[in-house]
Amino acid sequence: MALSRESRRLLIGATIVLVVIVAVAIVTLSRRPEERTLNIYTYDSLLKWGYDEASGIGTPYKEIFAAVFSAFEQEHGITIQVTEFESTGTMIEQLVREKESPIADVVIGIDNLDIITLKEANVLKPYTPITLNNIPTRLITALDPEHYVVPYDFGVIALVYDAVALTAESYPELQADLTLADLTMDKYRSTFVIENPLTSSPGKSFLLWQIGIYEKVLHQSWQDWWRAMTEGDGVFIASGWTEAFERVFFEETDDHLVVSYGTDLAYNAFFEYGSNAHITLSHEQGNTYSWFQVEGLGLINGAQHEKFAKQFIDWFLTEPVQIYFPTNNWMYPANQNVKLPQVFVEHAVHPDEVSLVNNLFSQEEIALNLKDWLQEWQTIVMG
Amino acid sequence: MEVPIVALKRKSLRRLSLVFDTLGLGVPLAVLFFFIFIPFFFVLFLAIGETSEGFINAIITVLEGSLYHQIFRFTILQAGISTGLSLLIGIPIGYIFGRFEFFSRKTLLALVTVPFILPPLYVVLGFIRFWGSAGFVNRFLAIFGIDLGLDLSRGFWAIIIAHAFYNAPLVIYWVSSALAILDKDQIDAARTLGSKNLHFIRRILLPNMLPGLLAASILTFTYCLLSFAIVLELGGGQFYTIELQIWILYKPPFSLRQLAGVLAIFQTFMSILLIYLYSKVSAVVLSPVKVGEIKPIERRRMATESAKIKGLLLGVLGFILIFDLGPMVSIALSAFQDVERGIWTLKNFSVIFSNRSSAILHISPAKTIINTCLFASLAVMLDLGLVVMAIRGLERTPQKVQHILESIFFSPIGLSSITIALGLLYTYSRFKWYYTSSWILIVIAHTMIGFPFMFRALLSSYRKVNPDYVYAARTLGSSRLDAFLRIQLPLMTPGIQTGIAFVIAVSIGEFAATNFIYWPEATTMSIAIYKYIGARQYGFAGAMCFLVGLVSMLCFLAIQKSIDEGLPL
Repeated sequence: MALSRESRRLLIGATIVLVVIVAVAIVTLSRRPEERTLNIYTYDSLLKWGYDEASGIGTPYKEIFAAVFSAFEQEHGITIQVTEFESTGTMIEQLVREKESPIADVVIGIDNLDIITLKEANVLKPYTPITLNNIPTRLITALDPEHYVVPYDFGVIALVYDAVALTAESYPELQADLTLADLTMDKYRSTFVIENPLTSSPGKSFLLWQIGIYEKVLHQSWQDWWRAMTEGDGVFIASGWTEAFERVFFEETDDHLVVSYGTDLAYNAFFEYGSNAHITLSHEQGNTYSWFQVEGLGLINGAQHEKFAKQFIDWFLTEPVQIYFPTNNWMYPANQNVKLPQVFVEHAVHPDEVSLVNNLFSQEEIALNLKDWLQEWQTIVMG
Repeated sequence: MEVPIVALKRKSLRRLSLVFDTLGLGVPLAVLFFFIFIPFFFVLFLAIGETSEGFINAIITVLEGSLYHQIFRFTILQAGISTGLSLLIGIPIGYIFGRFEFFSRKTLLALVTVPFILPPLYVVLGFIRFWGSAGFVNRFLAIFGIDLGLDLSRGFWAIIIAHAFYNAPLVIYWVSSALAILDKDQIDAARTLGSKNLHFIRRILLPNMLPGLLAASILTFTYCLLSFAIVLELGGGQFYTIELQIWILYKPPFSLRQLAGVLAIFQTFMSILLIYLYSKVSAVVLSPVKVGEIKPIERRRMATESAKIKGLLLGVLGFILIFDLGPMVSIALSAFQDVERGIWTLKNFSVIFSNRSSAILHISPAKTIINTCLFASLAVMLDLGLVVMAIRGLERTPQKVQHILESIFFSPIGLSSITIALGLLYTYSRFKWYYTSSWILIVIAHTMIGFPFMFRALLSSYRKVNPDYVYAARTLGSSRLDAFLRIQLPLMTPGIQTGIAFVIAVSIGEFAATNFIYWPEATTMSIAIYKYIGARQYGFAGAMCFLVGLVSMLCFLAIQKSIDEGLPL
């Protein structure tokens, strides 16, 4: 009942190979939670829109990272680990998964719709930063009056179009008072690209914008609008902002109108892109409407490094960090002392210039209905 | 007292062998218990929830909600139409390969059956590049001034055609192998008695092909029913299968986990029923009642056919080659071209092998390649070890128990990738180790998804080994383990190769479960391709797809040998 040499070699060989592979996997793939490491979760494009490699305009992300994160590390003697998620949805899911024993200390990138999901999941802990006095109250109220998250930047969602493709003669509404109802005309809906509200943040914002206008301003069925938009060869539904924007401005298609941001023209001007992009909003009953997006950061409930996390949130709202938001995140900085760059003054849509659809809803109303609205939307587009 | 070293060695070895044998069944059963059955029960608990009220409400939502009606209807409808189209394409092609002999028939057969092993995201990219609005077909038509505004990379028909691309090979395989064993005597007798044309098709051809067609249809229907990546990527935001909806409901903004659980349970009922049907039908196909020896009918030589028939056959073959090779060639072109400038380049490959962190992936592309290799090799080793133990254990159990155990070992095939991932995540994400090592769950998911394939391949080759060899070795003093390792295992080489190839192909192409579980540092090539497609970086996506596709095709070559010898797909 002996084992021959060959068999022994085979078994030993297989064991060695397995052990080696497992060891390599453990070494390369496991996170080693370190003492004095502040864990920050954020989405993957935070402050990453500030540099054009080809023209050399702007500031490379490396320098931004040094100014925002490394500077804090040095001052407080702690290492920062930034984990980037492909979407806020994935990030929130991760926070919910690890709720019982959180890895993250701070989360950056929760907007006024995400906060509903996060509050429901009981993931955050309210914290009032000592630097909050530089942030306008209306931003704080719009995001979260209870301070589970505090605002660091804001802006509006807008409709951006290619003015060369959509000429003034054929599309006069774009130059004047475009209404959401106009978009259901064949010539618009066949050239319009939206982001899927189930998977994309601007997509979700646009859905809320549309529901607000139809339910609260026009008192009509918001569902009928979507039925008209998706009937036959209707609106193009992209899975995310990148796909939508690329499709409209960088691919040869018949789509020339997209849900995007109110700072897009400032972005093009800053990088001297000479783009054909123009911007419009929805004009309903004498008012110009848009959806207001406020992004914030918050402290994780049960964070292992609560003291540093709080200090980081304080730091994030101060001027040395906030000055980077306009031309790197392409949003208005929440800190009111930051001087805006000229391109923002000239080309960006400031929320104060428009009526905000957000104000037509209470946060409770949105929290109560958001999931139903999304499911109804899904039902309609499945037709 | 002094014990002779040799005796000690022998004693410990005997113990080792004994331990090995008793654990034989225990280890794989325990692994399936912990990583398939417990997670599935957790999904069941998730669906039932804490209060019966919540459970009833969730059931009512699914049964009465118009959204869920639509999702169920669409899921079944698209699976049905996809199956129909697969049959429509597969039957004539299978007939040609089964009944005609022509130049490089075997190579061509391999080419038209290879799509079934390609990773779903490979198919997605292939469709975008070949059928898409800026794809090859449209650019080709534009040369002749034709602009159909055709975009078959989006919408209902894109899903259907992609499913047919994937599954027609199953039909081709079943039809051509059913025709290859047609009994010459039976046909000659029928012909002599005056059977021809419709009568011949109805009374001779169809009855011979029907069980195989049925098996292929059920399998195709099941795969299409559980489709995830194709619908996610080609559905254009307007189409959602049950599998896709489970994932959407589980994550924010919905976070309707109970509802996700209920859907998963409903879907599992359907898939298990289908797999059960399949096993019954394929058992009939694989053990036909034969009286006497069958003389397989010879294939007709295409060269000697009339010009009309030859033209028809070549036309059909030409169609399937364009249909199958188009997307594959388009991927190769994307991989080796600078899409924007339209020049040939190796730049895409230097980017995906680079060690620099990518803004799209958050880790370096090279790391995703390393991760993919690590996960695939771990899944292969674990599956191989577990299946070998399972098979050795089976040998020692009575016949009756054997059948039950075989069904248990085969059971993971009845669970969709999303259900497996949902179960694993819901069960194990409550433990601390998951946060530091999410990759372990990915390896487990890949191992579980690959397990039934490894099991089937090894079992069928194990059964082919003549037991007399083992008896001879045992008589000559070899231990049971030794006899297994030195005689049975080497004789099982073809099956082992097939099993390994299957698990590698499953692991490197796996998207749905990995996407559900992974953390950024455990990004795989499939996830990278998904992200590159999302960022419209077709060059990098093409280069990654090219590599993954190449490995999959090599796996296919290894599998094909066993398929030729009668292993069912």
